[in-house]
Amino acid sequence: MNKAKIAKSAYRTAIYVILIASSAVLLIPFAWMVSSSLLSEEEMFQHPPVWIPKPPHWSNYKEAWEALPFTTFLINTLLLTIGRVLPQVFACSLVAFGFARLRARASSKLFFLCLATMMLPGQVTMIPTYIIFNKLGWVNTFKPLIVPSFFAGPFFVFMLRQFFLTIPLELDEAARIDGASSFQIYYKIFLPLAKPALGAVAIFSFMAAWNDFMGPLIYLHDIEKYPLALGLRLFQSYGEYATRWNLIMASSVAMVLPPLIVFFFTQKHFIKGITIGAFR
Amino acid sequence: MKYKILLVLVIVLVLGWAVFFRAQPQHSSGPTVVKFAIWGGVAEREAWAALAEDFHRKNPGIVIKTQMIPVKYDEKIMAMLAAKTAPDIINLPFGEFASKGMLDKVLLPIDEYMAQDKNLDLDDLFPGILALDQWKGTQYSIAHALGPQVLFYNVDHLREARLPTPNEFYQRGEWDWPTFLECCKKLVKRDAKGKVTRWAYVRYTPIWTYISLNGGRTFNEDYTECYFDDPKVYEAIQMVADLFLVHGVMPPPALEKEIGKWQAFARGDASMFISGPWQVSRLKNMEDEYDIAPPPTAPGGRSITLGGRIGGIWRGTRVPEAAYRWISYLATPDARRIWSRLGFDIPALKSLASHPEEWTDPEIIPAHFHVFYDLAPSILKPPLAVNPFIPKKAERLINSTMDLIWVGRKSAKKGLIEIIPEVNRILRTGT
Amino acid sequence: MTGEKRLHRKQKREEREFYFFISPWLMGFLFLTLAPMLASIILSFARWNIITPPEWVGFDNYKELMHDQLFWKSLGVTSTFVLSSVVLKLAASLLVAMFLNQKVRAIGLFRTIFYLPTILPIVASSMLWMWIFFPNGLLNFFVTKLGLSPQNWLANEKLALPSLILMSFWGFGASMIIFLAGLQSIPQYLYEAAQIDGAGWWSKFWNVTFPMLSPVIFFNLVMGFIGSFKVFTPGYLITDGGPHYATLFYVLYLFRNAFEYFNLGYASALAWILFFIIMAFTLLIIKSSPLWVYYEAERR
Repeated sequence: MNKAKIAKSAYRTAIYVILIASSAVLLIPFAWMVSSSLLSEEEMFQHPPVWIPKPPHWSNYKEAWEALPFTTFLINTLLLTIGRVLPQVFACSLVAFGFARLRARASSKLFFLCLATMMLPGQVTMIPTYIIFNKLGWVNTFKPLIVPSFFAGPFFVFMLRQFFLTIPLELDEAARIDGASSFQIYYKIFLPLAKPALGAVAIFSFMAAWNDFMGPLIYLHDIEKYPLALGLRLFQSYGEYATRWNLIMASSVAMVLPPLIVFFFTQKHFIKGITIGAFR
Repeated sequence: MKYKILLVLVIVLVLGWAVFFRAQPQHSSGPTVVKFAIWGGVAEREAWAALAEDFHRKNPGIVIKTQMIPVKYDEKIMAMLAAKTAPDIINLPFGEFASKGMLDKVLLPIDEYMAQDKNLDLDDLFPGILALDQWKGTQYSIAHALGPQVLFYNVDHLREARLPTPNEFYQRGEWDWPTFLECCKKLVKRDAKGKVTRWAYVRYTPIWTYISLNGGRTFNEDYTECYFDDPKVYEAIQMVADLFLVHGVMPPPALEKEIGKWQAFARGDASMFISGPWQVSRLKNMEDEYDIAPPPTAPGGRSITLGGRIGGIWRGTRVPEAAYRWISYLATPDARRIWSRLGFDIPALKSLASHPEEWTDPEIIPAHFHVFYDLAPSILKPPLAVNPFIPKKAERLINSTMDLIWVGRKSAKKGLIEIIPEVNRILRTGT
Repeated sequence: MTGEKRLHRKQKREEREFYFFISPWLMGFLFLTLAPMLASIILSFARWNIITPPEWVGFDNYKELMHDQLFWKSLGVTSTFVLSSVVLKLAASLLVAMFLNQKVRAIGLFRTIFYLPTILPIVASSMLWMWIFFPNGLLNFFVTKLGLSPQNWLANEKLALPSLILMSFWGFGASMIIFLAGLQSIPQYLYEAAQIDGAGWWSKFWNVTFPMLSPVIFFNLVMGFIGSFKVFTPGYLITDGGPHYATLFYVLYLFRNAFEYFNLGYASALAWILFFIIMAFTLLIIKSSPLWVYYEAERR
């Protein structure tokens, strides 16, 4: 074996050791969530906390699911998530392309305005926004939650713009010489090239929609319209009444699993290296 | 070019706003719907559903629509108030509006409805209970329950320490703070290194309870002035702080969250705490035997009541009569039986007080359950002994001073007297 | 001669196309964002408790702010948080992203595990962190193993904020993913070329990775500043702003004014002060960006 090979395999081993060690640490909270979701009511209040429930109370999951209309919550969550992710990705990529590639005198000013909308804390715009949606008669429907995603969120616009700016200018200039329109360049060159970034936008907006409870809390009144994230909160009673911590954990674990699975199966597609060199 | 674009934008904007402000469709006729917004979760949801059903049976023309708001109740109701579409019955902090002089702009007085109400049996209500929902002589709601603060104690621990029970001390007229402190010193357990393995007492009830037990009064009747310079007020706080600082029989603030409060008691890691009737359902699985007793008092001292409010009728409601009917119904024996079966509180009705078996599980109640009721007359004697109606801002200021007092960085006397001007200013202006 | 006439038709068309492309954002801004923003500017010059109509008070709210000790305190707490968490978090997420960009087996699984903390519901993760910081918690366990004396992390006025800063690392997942996507977009031939030139690890990072990644670093930096100036949840859920205001974040103080003290006007004034502070920082970063951000498609 030559020196380079030894160095390489030592390097690899080091990487594995670091990855496995830190993964173990990062898995502790999840393991803790799972184990506390299986605790009995007595074990829940023990101190120091119980780590391995004996025996595991799998029935907590059933009980949690049946305590509230969770099947309805799941359907609502799916509707809301799909309704928010797809328009978000489309609208943001469109706007980001505009800011990254098309020249207009007001471009940089408008872009800064777009950034500026993120600088005001949402707490002060919440009530005026509520009043607008109320005037529209949209309160207690999914519209206040879904419609805004058609209007490109500034965070994602900014993110995609940064990615689009790394795409070499020669690519679209060559396409323009061939007579391609701006929309064709956006559609045929930018979207395929920016797949990793688009995937990240999709994942982020998926997570945001999946876990959002503040929007539904404010805009939905009927329990039949609640999504999972809000339904979960119904286990945490206010103030003085007993809290079923094990049931909160059981439903939290159930809620984390779908995004986790989605992430696992999509990450290799959206964080895939692209062979940009082929275009050169 | 630039101006054309601007012009188009302005037109679109104007059109958009026109859409926003178009008249909203009026709702159709049918049964009168009363929207009732309350916090709570799974357990309360079932109780409210049962109550709404029973109510509908008795009042077929009215349907109660309960909105369960699990968290951030105030924020949601505020947004709805700002949009002038609040639920018909809301439960916001009274003190906030009262101190700003706008209680009557938020809530509808119910005195007139009460005068005409044939279903409401005023004689059955505990005397004085109505004062819980009065502000400057006007009635805004009807409290349906009491939350008297009592002492929960671990019977096994006391027996082991060969102490008479607090009830026995109370009978002998000796149940005061020095006796309590002596009990604490005998109850605390330490290991060989002096580390506490079992605490005598955990702090749970708000500071107002201790002040009242010590015979102090914290505020004047209108809540425009605080009496923090009264020795009975600051000495009460110092007594509690010293349980940790001087005597080491109570866990330090840093540890309280970790070991839990009622949880520590339920595990047998602490021997006593002061709290209300809702603990009864929590402690039903407790291994050791526990009981309740009146909390220790100084001369002139008395316990206080917490909770029991359901909110009032929103001033802007379209269905005030129906909303009132619901509030009035909740104070009836039928409604109290349904609700209290959850073990949450103590109905403030004479007809139920003497028959706890009608609304609670005799298996889980402690031996001296009647102590809750025994304390009621002294609590309800005017002026009421309750959580004060003060703005949150004043409460925040007091709490952050308490942060320093509990850990001994300031004496109760110094800390509380220092903030008097600021607290009084907030009380008078509301901001 | 006005500028408009000098514009070529082609440029005019490009301008029209620009407005077409950004129209989703522009419409959203005009219909949903602009009005609430304007409303909050107006409210910052008024006193409004939601119930009675707003009362115009001119600059009173802003004047009051200058004498409000808690305003200054919360500004100090937030600045400390921002300055220490942004840079540390940025470095941490870049480092993790570079690790997860290696060609090793089961990298997908590792990426998922590293992203896991970001997905955990806040109720669960805040409870977990409380357990870490408790007097007999995990952190003190390690601290005593190292022979140091245990601390009351969250109950100590001096340690509460550093504890929350430590906790903010937990949220590295999102910026890590963005870095990872950025790393994956760097063409492999650049590294190959550097290899041929005999570049070492540092030289490759400095001459290839850093410039190619700089637009993404720029993004994460700006967003890190904006996001951490608006930090709210840890103070709200874990420490309730205490002990004795030690973790009273700016937005937590704003929140209390709005939703606890029913003082929407004052809260709006607080919000606009923060708006201009964040804007100043953002402008600073943007103005400095030509010095260190490299755009493949730079046209200026």
